[in-house]
Amino acid sequence: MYVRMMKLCIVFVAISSVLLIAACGNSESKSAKGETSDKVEQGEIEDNSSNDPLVLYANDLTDYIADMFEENTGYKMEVVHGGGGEILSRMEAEQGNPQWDVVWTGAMSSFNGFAERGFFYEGFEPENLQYMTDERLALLPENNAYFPMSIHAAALIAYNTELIDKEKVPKSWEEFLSYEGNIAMADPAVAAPAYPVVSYIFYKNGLEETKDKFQKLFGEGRLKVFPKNGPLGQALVNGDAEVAALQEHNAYELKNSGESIDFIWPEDGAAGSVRAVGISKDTDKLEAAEAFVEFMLDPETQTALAAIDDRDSLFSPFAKGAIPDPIRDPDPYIELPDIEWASEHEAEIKEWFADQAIQ
Amino acid sequence: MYKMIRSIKSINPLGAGITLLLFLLILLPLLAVILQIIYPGFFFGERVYEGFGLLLELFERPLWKASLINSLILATGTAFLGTFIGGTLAIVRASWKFTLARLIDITAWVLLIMPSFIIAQGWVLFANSNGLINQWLGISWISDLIFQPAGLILVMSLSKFSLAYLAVQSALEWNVLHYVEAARLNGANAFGALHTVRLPLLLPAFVAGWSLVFMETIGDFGLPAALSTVYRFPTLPYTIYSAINMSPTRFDLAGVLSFYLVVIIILALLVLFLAMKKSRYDFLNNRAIKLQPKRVKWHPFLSLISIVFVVIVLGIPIGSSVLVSFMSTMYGGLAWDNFTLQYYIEALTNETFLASLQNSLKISGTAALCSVIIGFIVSFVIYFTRFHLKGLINMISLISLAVPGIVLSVGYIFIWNQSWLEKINMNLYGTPSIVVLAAVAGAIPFAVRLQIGAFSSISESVLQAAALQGASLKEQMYTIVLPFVRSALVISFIASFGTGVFDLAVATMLHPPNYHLLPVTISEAFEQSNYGFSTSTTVISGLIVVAIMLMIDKTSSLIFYLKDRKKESFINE
Repeated sequence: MYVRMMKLCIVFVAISSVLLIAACGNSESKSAKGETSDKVEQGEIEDNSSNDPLVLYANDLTDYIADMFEENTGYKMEVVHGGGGEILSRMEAEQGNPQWDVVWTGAMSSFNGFAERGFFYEGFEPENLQYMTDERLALLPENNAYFPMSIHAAALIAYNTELIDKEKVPKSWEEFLSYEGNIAMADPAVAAPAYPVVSYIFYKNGLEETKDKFQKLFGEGRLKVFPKNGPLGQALVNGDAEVAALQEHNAYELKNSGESIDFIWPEDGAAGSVRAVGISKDTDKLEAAEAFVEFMLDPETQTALAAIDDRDSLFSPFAKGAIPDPIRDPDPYIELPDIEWASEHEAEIKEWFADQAIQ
Repeated sequence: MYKMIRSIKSINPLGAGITLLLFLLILLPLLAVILQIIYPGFFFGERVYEGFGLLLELFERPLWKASLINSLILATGTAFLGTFIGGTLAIVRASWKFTLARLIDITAWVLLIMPSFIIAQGWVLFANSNGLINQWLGISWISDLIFQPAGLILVMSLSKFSLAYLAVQSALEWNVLHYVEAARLNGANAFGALHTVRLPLLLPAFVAGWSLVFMETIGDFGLPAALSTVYRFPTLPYTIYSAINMSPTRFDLAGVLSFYLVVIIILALLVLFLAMKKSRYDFLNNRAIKLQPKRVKWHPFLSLISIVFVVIVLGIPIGSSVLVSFMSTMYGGLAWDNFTLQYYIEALTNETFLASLQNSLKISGTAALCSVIIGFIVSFVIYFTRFHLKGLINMISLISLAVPGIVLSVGYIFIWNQSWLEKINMNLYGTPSIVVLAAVAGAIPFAVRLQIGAFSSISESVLQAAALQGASLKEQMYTIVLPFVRSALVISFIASFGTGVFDLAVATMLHPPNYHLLPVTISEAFEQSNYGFSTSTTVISGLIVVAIMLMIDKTSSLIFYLKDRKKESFINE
């Protein structure tokens, strides 16, 4: 009888183990709820869809991109949405076993680092590179490990109009760092768009000199750091800071919603964030991945993306002939640090910043 | 050879199975965290020995050092203040009779189950510079008071005191006045009696309460996560999270910080065991009577204090969230023209929220069920088998108390994200299964402790007597063990389920891409300052979870009642 009871209990253990390890099922797919489109128009375009969709990691326009791509090429796509920082850390965590085929996000210095570590498939020569201007082609890495396709301002200088007069607003990043009141910015270790800002300021003003200025601000308790641009904008509205290095679309959003927020484009250039597309070196859907790169570099695609209202960022397309965003400044002055430099100093600057920000 | 075969035959398969399962769920991720310190790339194919040098780096990086110091300050301060509040309340509750005494009990239990990030979000909405108190009453100093270390200690103490309250309350259950009277008869003055009788009997409970509050606070991820939007106060759990969620990712750092966190919690756990060992139960003799609270003239005053206290500890955090959920804008204040239901409509039509709710209920339900089964088997093996690794099982179940969700999650990433697992289709990282596994591991301490307590009340002689009467083991289990432990099974299911739905640490660290989970959805909306959405989803999901918990409780009570009645009528016939 005891043996029978034992058997019964073993079944219990087995059931619980099965429930534990396989309950929700590995078969439920690596990214549980994909957003695979089912809109292949039969006959009009070639049906390239196979059982396994192309997996894209992206942080913006994720509700639209799969359908647009499938309509255009016939390839099925599953989009995995995440914040910019989340996508980068997932790529890092999955380095031994990537779950993505293509990635599209705005973190070019991190992409540069990933390219050096061999995360990307190299050497692809997309035909649509012909639409890129020489200036933009200069951003393309030599081994074609990733493809820059648009730029937006990771930060411009935003201010609370109730707390500060327009004349007193810092006009450049140098003035921003020397500002006498309270300033704020996003944390480069957490928010993906914040590193392009910090790296640009460091690059433009010199590493050691800028460290001194930041240290002074932190020491005097006049620089507040927020994990993301959302709370940063809110802090500016609340009056916790008078001036902030705020991402472009957050600044437009707050201003357009009637908050007492305005902004200026810095004279020495708004810090730019380049959005790029990369293909995983381990992808088994190379053909579809290459089609996606071609699709993203196409002026028509870039025009269509810039016309969608429901976006997390405003941007300037790189393709010649693409119509830029209608609601933003038509000729923004956006600058970038040297990508190699930004990539090389990424870990150092982020760690230094995090260490100083605790003061 | 014969000996070997005999020893293999003598292995208790149930005990071995459960040991393996506990090892897999709890010990292995913990070992992985430790291994990652000396072999930083071990789980990513770079097996280079680095020694223990990384451990010392903690004292070189200001952020890491600050995280350690902040955690220790917050946990120690909260442990003292929380124990003071909880202990005082327990003494007041046990000494005097007043109308609203039950209210304090209910508050303590509500706070025990409520997720800390929801409480902290409520406090942020109430006290931040643009918060409710400043907007309505123009009181700006509350913000300065709360968003500094002492203020955080106060907020944490007001939400974690319940552990100390329950610990001290259980120690006050029995009346030891006859010992006090004996001391007084022997010449001791009031202070002497207090010093030599009451305090030694109560002290272990206070120490136990202190260590429970300390452990709960130092491993807490919810408060720093909710606070991060308004005030920078890095603690060990939050820095571990940042290390994993930044690029370049620092798994090695996450491993080191997790190690320190576990070591600190184990030290606190040792204090707890020491306190429990020092607890005396020899006063529970035939003269023992339950302590009866005295009715005093000024009992309405005690009721009034209870109301004020409950308004502060529950009213502020919950009330702030509920109010904000009905406000069109934060700056619009408490006015009719600012009243809106738009966030509730938005929440109820939001696909992400509905998917999050469904997924979180499914996962925590599965995890609660698994943990109850595991808890049952563990208790069974410990009490009714002669399995020689009983000690190990007990030890692992105790260690599980010391592992916060954030550390467990780091270990799970190391273990379940290895490329070789992909070949056998067992790479669980990025799948809902890993969330279930971590949720089960997180619920095991509840399930095991609650059921072990219930099993301990079953005398083996009862089972032996039943066996002598010819009852099979199955019958013994069904007719004796199950009726004894069934309430504990239901309570541990409800507790695991209720806390699992809102487990922010596990959900944040392990949620698969595109797989929405409730705590992450709420927390992300809050991070983006989308307060209307975050609070309305909190209110809706909170009500649903409470309704499910009550339903399980009432249904099970009804089933047990009907079963008992059926049995009674059978016996009467």
